[in-house]
Amino acid sequence: MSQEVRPILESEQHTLYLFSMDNLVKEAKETLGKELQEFTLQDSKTAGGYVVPVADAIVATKILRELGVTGEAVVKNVNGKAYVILKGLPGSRKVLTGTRYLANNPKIVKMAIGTKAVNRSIMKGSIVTLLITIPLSIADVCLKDQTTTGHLIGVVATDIAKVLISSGVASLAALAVGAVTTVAAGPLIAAIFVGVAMGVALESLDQRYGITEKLVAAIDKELNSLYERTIGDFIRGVQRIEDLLDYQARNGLPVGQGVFY
Amino acid sequence: MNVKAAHVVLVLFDFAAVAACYWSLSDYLSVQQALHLGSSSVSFESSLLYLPFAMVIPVLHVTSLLRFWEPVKQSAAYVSAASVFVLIVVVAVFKLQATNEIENQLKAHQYHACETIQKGRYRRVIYRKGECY
Repeated sequence: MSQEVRPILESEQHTLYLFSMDNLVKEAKETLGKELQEFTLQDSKTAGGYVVPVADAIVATKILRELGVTGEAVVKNVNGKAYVILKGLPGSRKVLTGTRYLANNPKIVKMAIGTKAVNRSIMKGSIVTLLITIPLSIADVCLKDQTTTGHLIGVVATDIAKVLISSGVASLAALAVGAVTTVAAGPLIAAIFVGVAMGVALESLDQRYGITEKLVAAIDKELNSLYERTIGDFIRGVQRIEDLLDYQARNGLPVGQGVFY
Repeated sequence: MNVKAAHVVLVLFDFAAVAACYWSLSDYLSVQQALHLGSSSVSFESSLLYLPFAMVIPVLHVTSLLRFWEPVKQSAAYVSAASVFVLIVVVAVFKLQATNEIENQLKAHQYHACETIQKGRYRRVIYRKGECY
């Protein structure tokens, strides 16, 4: 075979591993430490809780790799437009080869440099978290033997509130850090760790004071009371009329008198 | 956000971070104490050991002030980044170490995990001596 063709063929070479389903399941059990059937929705929720911090950590690593540990970025407003000015040698960078970018430049937004980009990243992260946790919460409630509408509304409402509070606080931290430090990865790192700490604190407070349970109980009580005041009242009214008509029919009185005429 | 407002917000975050650290450590110590006293039930929230991560804010805040201090003005960004990195590593190692230590102690004192609540990053396990009920 000629020396020219060999590298081309080798570059196109792929290795395909074939596993039987049994072997794959066995491998998964050994790696994960438990049977696939033993995984619950709570495990999915747990994994879901790590998606956004891990994604943000990857972005932070990209910033550090691109700008270095001491990489500095300053946000300046010029003629009403916000610019991100990068300090250091542009030649040593791979992606951000310029010295200044508009704050909404796609490269800057993707790297989450500057408070505007970090806030966008936080907002995106919150949406992803909600898209993961809410369907799982709904599925979790629906798969229970006994559940109420109040439980579903209460659980989803507290999940949304926790995500929004964590994101809001993380965003505020990023904004404040971005205003005082020039470390490029500073606002994103602040947002990641404040978000993690806030999420844990809110969940702990919820468990400690039973906030979700109290909310569920209040919603259930309100829904029951609403049912009593509307459908319950209507059913009782119909029942009363039925009893009266029955009484009139049994006692030879004009049926419907006092009700319809 | 202007710099003055940012400092005010960061001071609030600094206090909150210290409070979070205190909460985390006091919970860790209360579990140790419960173990020492041989309580029949011990509730361990390992995820509370993530709370000291909030200290990144005071660290970033304090080190951001270094650029006004002439002797370290040039290396302020380096000091800031290095301090945050060290803090993250220390907290992560402490979390793993403390969780392992408490779980080993619980096992050694013949506690059994009876109830586990896991939601996202939050995890609380209630251990009891003897049989679970």
